Amino acid sequence: MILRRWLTSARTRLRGAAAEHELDDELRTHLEMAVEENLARGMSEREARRTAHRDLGGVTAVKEARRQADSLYWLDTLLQDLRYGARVLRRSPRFTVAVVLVLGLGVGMTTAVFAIVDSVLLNAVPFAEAHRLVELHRFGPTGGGPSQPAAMVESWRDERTLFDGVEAYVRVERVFTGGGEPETMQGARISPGLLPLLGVAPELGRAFALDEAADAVAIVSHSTWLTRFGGDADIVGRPLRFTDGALTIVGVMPASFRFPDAYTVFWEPLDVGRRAASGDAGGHRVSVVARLGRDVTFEQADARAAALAPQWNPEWFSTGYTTRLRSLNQLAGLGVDGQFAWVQQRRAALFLLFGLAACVLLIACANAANLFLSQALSRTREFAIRAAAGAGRLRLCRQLLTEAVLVSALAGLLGLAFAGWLVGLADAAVPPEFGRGVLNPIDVDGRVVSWAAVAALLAGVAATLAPALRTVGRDLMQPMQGSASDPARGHGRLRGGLVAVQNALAVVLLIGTLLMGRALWTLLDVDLGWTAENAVALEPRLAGPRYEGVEARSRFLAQLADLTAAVPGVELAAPAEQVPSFASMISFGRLDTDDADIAQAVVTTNYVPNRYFAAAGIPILEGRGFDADAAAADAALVSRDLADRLWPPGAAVGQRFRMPGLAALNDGDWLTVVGVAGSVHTNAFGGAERPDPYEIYLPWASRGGLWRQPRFVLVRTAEGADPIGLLKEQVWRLDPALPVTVHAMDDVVAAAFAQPRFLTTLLAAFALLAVLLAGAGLYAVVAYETSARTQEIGVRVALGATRGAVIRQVLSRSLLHSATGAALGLLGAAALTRLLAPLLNATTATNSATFAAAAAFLLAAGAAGAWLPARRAARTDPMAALRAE
Amino acid sequence: MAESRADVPYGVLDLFVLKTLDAMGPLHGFGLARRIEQTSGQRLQINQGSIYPALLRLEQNGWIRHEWGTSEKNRRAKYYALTDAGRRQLERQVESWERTAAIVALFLEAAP
Repeated sequence: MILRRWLTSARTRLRGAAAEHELDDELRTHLEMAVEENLARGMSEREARRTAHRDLGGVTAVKEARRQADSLYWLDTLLQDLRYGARVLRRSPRFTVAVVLVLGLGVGMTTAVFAIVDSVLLNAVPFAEAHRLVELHRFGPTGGGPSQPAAMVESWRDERTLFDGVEAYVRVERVFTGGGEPETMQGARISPGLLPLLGVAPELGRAFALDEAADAVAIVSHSTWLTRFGGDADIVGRPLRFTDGALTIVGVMPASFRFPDAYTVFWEPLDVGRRAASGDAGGHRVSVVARLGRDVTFEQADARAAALAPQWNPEWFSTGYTTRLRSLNQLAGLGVDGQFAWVQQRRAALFLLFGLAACVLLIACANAANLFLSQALSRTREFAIRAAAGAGRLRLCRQLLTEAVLVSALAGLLGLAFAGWLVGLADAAVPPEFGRGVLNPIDVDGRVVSWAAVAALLAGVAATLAPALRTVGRDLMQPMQGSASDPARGHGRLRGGLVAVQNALAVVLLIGTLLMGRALWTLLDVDLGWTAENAVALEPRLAGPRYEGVEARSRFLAQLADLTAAVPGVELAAPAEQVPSFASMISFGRLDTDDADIAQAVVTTNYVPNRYFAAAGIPILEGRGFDADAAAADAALVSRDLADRLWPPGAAVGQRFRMPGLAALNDGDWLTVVGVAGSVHTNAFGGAERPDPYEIYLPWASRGGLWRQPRFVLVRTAEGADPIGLLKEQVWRLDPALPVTVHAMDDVVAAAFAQPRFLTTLLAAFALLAVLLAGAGLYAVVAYETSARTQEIGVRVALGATRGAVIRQVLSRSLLHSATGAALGLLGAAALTRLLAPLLNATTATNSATFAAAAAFLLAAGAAGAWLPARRAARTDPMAALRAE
Repeated sequence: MAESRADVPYGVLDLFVLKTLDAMGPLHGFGLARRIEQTSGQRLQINQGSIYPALLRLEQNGWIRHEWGTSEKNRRAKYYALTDAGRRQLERQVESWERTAAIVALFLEAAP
């Protein structure tokens, strides 16, 4: 109905001037007819005309009334308001740029943080009705994992009251040969119904057909499509070549799709039936994803599944094991195993970041409000004139609101651009510990754009509301009656309050930043115990029958080390089981010596040749390396920390120790310490809760334990040499189909600090912006106050006040504002540091020096902001000031 | 001004226009205005001009439509006519007015 009215109106409007003429014609006819009738009644020509006009009520008035009756009248006024608002904003470009900049930066920061929080916490599983998506895990007394016998998929599917759909997937890793060099690709085999179950579809091509489970077809990720196939629109039908065969590409998933994790770049069909027929106890394992039925709660389904599973497959679910549900929401993002301390830390950190970003936005709002306030004051006369010309208060309010919306729109656009840039930085800095995590890529998606729009609108309206009410609420006629009263008086307290709030928030942010900065500095200052510069780790992907068993892998890596040692620019190359800074195999257990024991030692074992220590830059502090006992089965080096823990200083060499029942360590037999190596800090960011494991080194050539799995060749290159291309070629000289990753060790170390560095940088940016805004806010207020007091200052100067006295007076007033704010801020910061404590590791959170520094910095910024107006006030010419009256 | 004339309650003018068009068939603006004045016996305070916004409103609601024609005196004039939707609307409005009037009358009689 309303739509039809608008349509009719719009149709008339499209005819534009013609419609306007039509009304003119109609009214002219009307008047002519009326005149004619009046003449017929015997009036004079003049009287007839006058009566006709009087009866009609005036052509202009009728036209105006008709315009207002139009169903799109609101659009007219809106456009008028917008035009007028745009003109006002254009007329004072400095004001406009300042407000848009201030609000835009504030909105941009919160939006960027929202993008992260949304992807990692709020909307971690970006699928339709994600709360109904669960994984079926095998769970027992010591925990569990996402595996189910394939045969059980059918059984779960039959439980139609529990689940609306049950699908399965298995991760695969294949070596891609379609590019320049062989490369491992992570993929997943998915049952054809999985994509529909998640509610997603390819952006190009099609999903798997249900009868396609056994075919050699594939769907690739958006990034694979772009990087491997150049974004070719005809990709469907082209082959995806692997060392073990090719798949025909049938579709491309959208960039936002990540499943089962962010590293999966291709999908192929999984034949659940065939998998169920192979293996024992119900077939090979698969991961199972299900969508809960609408009428079933998580708890009901969980209990039912736990009861059913052991009945169906007592062989697999024996001794306390059963099936439990885990919601996808809980598994993804920072929901991952919520009980871990580090997850909670990160979660707290993110919310904290969000709160601080909100602080910045608040400061920006307060600042913009002050700008609007001074703008509104200078427009008092304009509003008075408009009110006198018949504009109602509502209309004036609407005008101010329209201007606010215009400003908000500009600020929103600026904020979005700024957020896009920040998010790009954030995506690179998000640490890999978010792991399987982040199914929802951190980017500017629809939700983030809506957030920016809402934030900008709220900020814009909040910033204009106070000035709008103040301006319109006043007696609008007053300014017309001259300048007898001081228009600033009523606003003084509001402006001072806004400045104090800005200062308080700025102090909080400053202190937060300083503390984070100190924590980061402490981290970066830690001596890692080895030398990452000019070290490169080669990691060939040793998979397949050729590399089965420790012997084959060891032989390959030793050969590779010999080849790479001969490459120009390489000083040393050593095969190694582990290299520092990589997630290492960690073992727990009791550690015995002849006189002492550690009940629960955390150790990592590394089989290395003697030259490894030189290659890694780890010093041998006592005894010797493995030179003489290269093949001795019971020789071991221990790290400084372990030696200090077990034996008196200098007494470690020659002692013996063992870890009973630990296969990784010589099957638990006694080992003899032949030397002590420097401790390596692999886990500098872990804090007290995750101490570095003790390192135990065993000779490369010794027999080795059951779990031994050699992976690396560690290469030390000459200063300035860049032999990475040549290093890769050495791998392919041995096996041309082998994918190899080259890790530059200083990058690896830097990545470990990516998160604290990112947090600190972001906080620093927040704080800097906050201080700038607070300083600028103070400047605006002081400048306004002093200009309003020109007369008073003039009188003082006339009475003999020195320039210094005037400056002192202005500065002390401004200091009052910033000191109030700073005091409030210190209180807030004391509360904040308690929240920050888990992130600060070593630093003591409540640090009076930091607090004092922040407050002093802010007061200095306030003084700087007040200095210009104070000096200007001191130059006041008393005669000019008094003459103005 | 001989006697005091009543203001027109909001929405009544629309009803008058619809009713007049229903009774008289297609009319131009002046004819409509004169007709309404005559029917009310000059007792209503109506600006003739105020029917033009009303006509626009009614037309945008789809209750009347217009056509350019020629008057008795051979003038080009815009004629308005009731549509089927307009006729239904008129019935609804008449019914609602009668109900309102009846209730008001009842109330006035009952009151002491």
